[in-house]
Amino acid sequence: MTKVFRFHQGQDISGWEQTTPLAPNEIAQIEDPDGLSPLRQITSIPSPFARIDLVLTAFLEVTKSGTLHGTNIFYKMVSDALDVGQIFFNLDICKDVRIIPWDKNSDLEKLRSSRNIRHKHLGETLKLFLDQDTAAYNFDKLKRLYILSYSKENDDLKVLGGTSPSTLFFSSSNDLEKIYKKNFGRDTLFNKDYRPLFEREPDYIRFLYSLRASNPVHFRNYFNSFSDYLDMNYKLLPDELKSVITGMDGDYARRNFNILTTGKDGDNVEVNGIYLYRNLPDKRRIEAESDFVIKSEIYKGIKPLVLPNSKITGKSRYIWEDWDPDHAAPFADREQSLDSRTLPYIGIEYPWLTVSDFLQPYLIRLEFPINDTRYFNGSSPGEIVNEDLCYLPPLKKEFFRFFKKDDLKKYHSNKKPFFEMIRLAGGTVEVILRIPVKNGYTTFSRKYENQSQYALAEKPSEGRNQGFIIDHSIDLAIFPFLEFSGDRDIPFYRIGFADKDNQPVRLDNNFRLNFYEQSNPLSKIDKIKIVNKTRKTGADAGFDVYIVENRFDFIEIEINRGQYHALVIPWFSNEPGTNQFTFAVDFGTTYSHVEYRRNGESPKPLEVSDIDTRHIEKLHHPAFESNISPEFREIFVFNLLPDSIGSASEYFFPIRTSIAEKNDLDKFSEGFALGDLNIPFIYEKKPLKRYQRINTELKWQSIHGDDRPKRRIEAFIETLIMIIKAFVILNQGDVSRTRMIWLYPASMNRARRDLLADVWARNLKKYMPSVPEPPRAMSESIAPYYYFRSSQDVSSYDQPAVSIDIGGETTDVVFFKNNKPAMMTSFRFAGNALFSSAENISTDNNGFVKAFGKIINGYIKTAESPDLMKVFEDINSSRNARDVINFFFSLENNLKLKEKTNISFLNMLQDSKEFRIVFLLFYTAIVYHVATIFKTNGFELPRHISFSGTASRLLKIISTSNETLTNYTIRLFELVCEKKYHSDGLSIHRDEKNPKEVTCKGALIQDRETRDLSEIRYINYGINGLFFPKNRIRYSDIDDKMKDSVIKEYENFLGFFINLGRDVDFSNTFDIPENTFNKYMQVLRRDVKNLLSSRIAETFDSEESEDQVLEESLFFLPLSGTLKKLVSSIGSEL
Amino acid sequence: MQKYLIVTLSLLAASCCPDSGEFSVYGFFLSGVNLAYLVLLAFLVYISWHFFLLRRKISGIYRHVRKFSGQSGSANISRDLEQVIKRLKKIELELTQLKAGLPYGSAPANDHGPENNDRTDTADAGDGSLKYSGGSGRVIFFMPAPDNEGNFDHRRKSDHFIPSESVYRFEMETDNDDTAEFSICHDPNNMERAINYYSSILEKVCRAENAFNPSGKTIRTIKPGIAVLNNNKWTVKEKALVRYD
Repeated sequence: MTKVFRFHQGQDISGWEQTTPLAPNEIAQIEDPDGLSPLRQITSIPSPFARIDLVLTAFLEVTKSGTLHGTNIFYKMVSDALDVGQIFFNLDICKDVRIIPWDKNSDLEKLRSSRNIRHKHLGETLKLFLDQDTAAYNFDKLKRLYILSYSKENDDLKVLGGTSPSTLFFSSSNDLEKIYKKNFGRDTLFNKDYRPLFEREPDYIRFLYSLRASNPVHFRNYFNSFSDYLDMNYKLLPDELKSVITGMDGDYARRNFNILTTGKDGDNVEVNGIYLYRNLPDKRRIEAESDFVIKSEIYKGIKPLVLPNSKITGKSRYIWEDWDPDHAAPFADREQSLDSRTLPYIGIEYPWLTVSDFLQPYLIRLEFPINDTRYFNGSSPGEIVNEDLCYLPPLKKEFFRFFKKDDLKKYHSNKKPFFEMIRLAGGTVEVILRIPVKNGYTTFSRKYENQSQYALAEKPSEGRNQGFIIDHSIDLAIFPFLEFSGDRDIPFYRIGFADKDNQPVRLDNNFRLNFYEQSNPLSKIDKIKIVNKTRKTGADAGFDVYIVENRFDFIEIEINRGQYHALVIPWFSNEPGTNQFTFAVDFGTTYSHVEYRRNGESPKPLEVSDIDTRHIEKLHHPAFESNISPEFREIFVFNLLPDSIGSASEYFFPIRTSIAEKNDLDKFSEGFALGDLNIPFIYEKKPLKRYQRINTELKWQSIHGDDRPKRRIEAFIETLIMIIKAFVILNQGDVSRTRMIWLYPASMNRARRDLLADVWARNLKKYMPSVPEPPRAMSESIAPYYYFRSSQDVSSYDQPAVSIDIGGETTDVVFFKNNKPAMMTSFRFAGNALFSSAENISTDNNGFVKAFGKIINGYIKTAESPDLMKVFEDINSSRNARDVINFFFSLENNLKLKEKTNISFLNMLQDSKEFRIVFLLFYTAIVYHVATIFKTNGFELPRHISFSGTASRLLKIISTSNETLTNYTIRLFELVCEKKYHSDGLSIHRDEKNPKEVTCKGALIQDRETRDLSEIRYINYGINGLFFPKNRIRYSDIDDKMKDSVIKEYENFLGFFINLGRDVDFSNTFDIPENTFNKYMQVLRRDVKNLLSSRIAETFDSEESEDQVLEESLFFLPLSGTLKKLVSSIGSEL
Repeated sequence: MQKYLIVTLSLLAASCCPDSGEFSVYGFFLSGVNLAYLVLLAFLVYISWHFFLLRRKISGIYRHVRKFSGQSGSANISRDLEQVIKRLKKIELELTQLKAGLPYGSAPANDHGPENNDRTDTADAGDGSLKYSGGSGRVIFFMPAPDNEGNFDHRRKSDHFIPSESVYRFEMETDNDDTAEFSICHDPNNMERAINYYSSILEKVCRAENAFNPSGKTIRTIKPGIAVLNNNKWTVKEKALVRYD
């Protein structure tokens, strides 16, 4: 038995015989001992270009087999060659792969002429084969071979394959699956899944067919088997792609792809004269074609993909093909920059978003439900607010790169909400975000688990989509709660932040608020100032006020310098309005008042009571306020503003003219209104906090030198303007049509009035620059008359009328004739003349405090109101009797006290016979002075006298009967003027309920009155009939002789008062004890000169130079001193 | 703690040495007063033991801190210290809870309230905090500030004292679980907080036997208040009598 040693079948021969070269038939008969196993590469061909030949053979074999799917080595080689082609085509996204050109002429020549003998031999060998196989492999057309090599992190170069003059591409025989890992869609390169062309990415398919279309004849000539392969695949292509291919012209590739270069411009890659192309790294095309492209109206860049991180149902196109339902995108990407991210599974550099780009790893739980009508709380519309809705939305600010906050309220077409928060068993909360994409939405979800604050847990892993719930005891409030819009609408916000995170384990937590506009969510607003009102302790909350002079859309709460974050998203809902508002502000000595008119309607006090137009909105839900921590119930009203101001509230206008400031505030010029300096609406109602100090004497404090009084005045007015502007916007007002009137007393000197005018003008311009008219100044003296004329039919056409406004510090009197002001006088003899202490130092000397302090204290104790006890204690310790007495007066309006006891200091005074003489004397002195002016000027006796101002309420103490008071006044006039009263008689008008409001109401009724009353100013100096403007007395003129003259005038008045008492019978008419009258008169005559000198010194204002003309009567100076003595004396006896 | 022990020993001595100077087992056990002493003694010994254990824990942690602070170059020091600090805070909380949870008559320091024989047992609530039971047949829990109407929300009760949240200590019998006595927790921060926010915390549910002292530091419950449970609300039937010191 003989054995024939040959691979192929053929004729048997013996010995040496002539044979013919092997023809293709014979070659085909050769059996692969490995059975064409793809596991073993064919390597036994003795040619450096064997791989080119093998790939060519593989294409021939596959096309010959008639099927495109197969598992033998030829299918592998075809698939690998196509993979190489795909890398050439997608070179831009194949990192660490580069093209190395090898030039058939120059590089071959270099080898051949090399001095290195081995190089030389290689050159010669290559040349031999290039020459020998020219026809078989188109080497005659070959100019350059392009080797595709891969090298990662300085590893050795590994050849993946290259261009082939026979089949366009060939792969190397290396184990490429181990060397290079890459996916294109579902196709993994060089793996065992031998993908035919028609199953590959459509772009690549178009690319290969477009190469053929660029020169069909050449292509068929040079790449015949490859072309056959294309034909085979064509039949299996989708119709859409077939149609594209059919329509291809020779220029298609150039138009649709980028020319491929070796990396150098102009060094184009070509195979047998056919240029190769690379896929456009066309992000725009991905953006246009992928179903996962985010649907965002505001994102300007290449829109990222939002890829599902859980299984999805239905088909959605990823890039080249549909998203594999079994795939899940990672929960986070280490690459922070979206543009530098590569898409999962395909590795293309293209922005895409993960759940961690939108959701925080921590969910912050507050101790109260969030006010869902004002802040986003994650609840679904219609969901009843309950205690579980206490989580701050765990959104990252990056969310606003793509969406507006209103999107959070939206629903998808299948009724699923954009944002959802679901409470699960065990306290876990699942947050679901349905991000709209081109084809519906991608659902992101994160479950937040309860995390014990003491547990030593690791941080939640965003990569594993972990989330923890953490507790923080914080609250905030925004003033004004509105959105500023328009270029001229200058934004101003005060955001109060309360930090009660003061359990031992949380005491070190620190917080900072960052503010953002949603149009620029990555860049926090830098126009922020923080006023720290108080730092937290184990027993009390901390409080900061953020001064934000910029519009903002959301707040980021940054905890522990970036350890945790959460967003607070307010729903501002104000709409532009058209209402016209006019405001009148009476900045009074004791109380200040604000009234307004809307579209010419009746004047009303400024009230903020409607729940829809509240100027300040807290984060906690108002329905749960009763149940939250006491700190959060109280802290905002102490440090910002009450949310409700009005008759139904504890806080209302008129308000006490005062400023509460941080007690460590030193740089007043830098102090912020509603930050460092607040209007304390709680004053006289609740004790101030330990970090606050109060200032009540704003209006008449010296404004020279020390800048504090000016800053306090400014802060008071500035705060009022802020409140007013918020009111206008929230009540559908047109800010640009708003008008402002401010009132000043006639006795106010020019310098102080100019200061106030400047403060009003500057702040109105700062906060309401669109208001065309500057704030209008109106005399306090003139305004009440217009109110009474409108409401009580006061007229001065036939007979004169007098308007007497008795305030805290000054009394303004205007004489009206023919309904016009004819003369005006003003003097500093008003409420404070009665209520301040003798030396203005201590409350001890004040008779009212002596007489009523204990009684009132008893009332407060009975009412079990330690808050008020503390208020009393604090005010009393300030040693300012006026403040103490104003506190007494305030009690009858204290809502909390009213619930428990019926207390009225005014009624107490009214019931006190002993003190009645004081008020009668006070009233008599004022009317006496007015009557003297009537007499001096020969005026007809007045038909009407109206009383307004806070201290005009005191007239009620003299008599509750208007008739008694009128008769007394008539008699007084008759005795002074020495003539009988006319038959029309006298009508006295007063508004007992709201005497302070009268001035503002009158100003609004006659809002065009701009008369400068200085032209009709009259001063009866009370010295030998001297009067201004005829006589001008200067401070320097006041000598002993003049003082004696003042005292003489005072004595005359006392004599007049005694005679009047006999005339009208004080005992009978006013129930004044007869036996005490003479004793009191003695008190009034004691130490008069001393008291006069003291009062002159007190009244002399440092802002006025000695050469300045005296602007008020000296008549009242002795009386204001002796009255205090009298009050003290009566108080001591009681 | 020494004070407790001294008082306890004195009481024991008094019990053991009646006028005759001889110890009488029979007399000792039959005396109601002495029985009360014994219960109080047991309670105080129990509390002392807890303080002792906690102190030991703290000492151990401080040693741990010193050990770490003595090392250098350890990459984990910062993280370890952070954990140690957390542990310390937890223990601080436990101490606070323990002190605050004491019955109103057995407050440390200057509390001179009426004698109280209540026994308080503590147990770990599972989350690291201390849970109280008032001995056999009694239940103790804690409440935050009352609402603006002066009622306590039953749903907000806690089995353990939570600093800066819990204000009142409620105690009731298990067989009468709709009536409870309440008193102010003894935590110094809690008392200061109650004074700061008098109107929200005290006004509606307490009456005072002396004038309110806004600058005071201590509020003692002289007589606990009584609250009745109705529809998840504890309504105050009788205000607690307190004293400001």
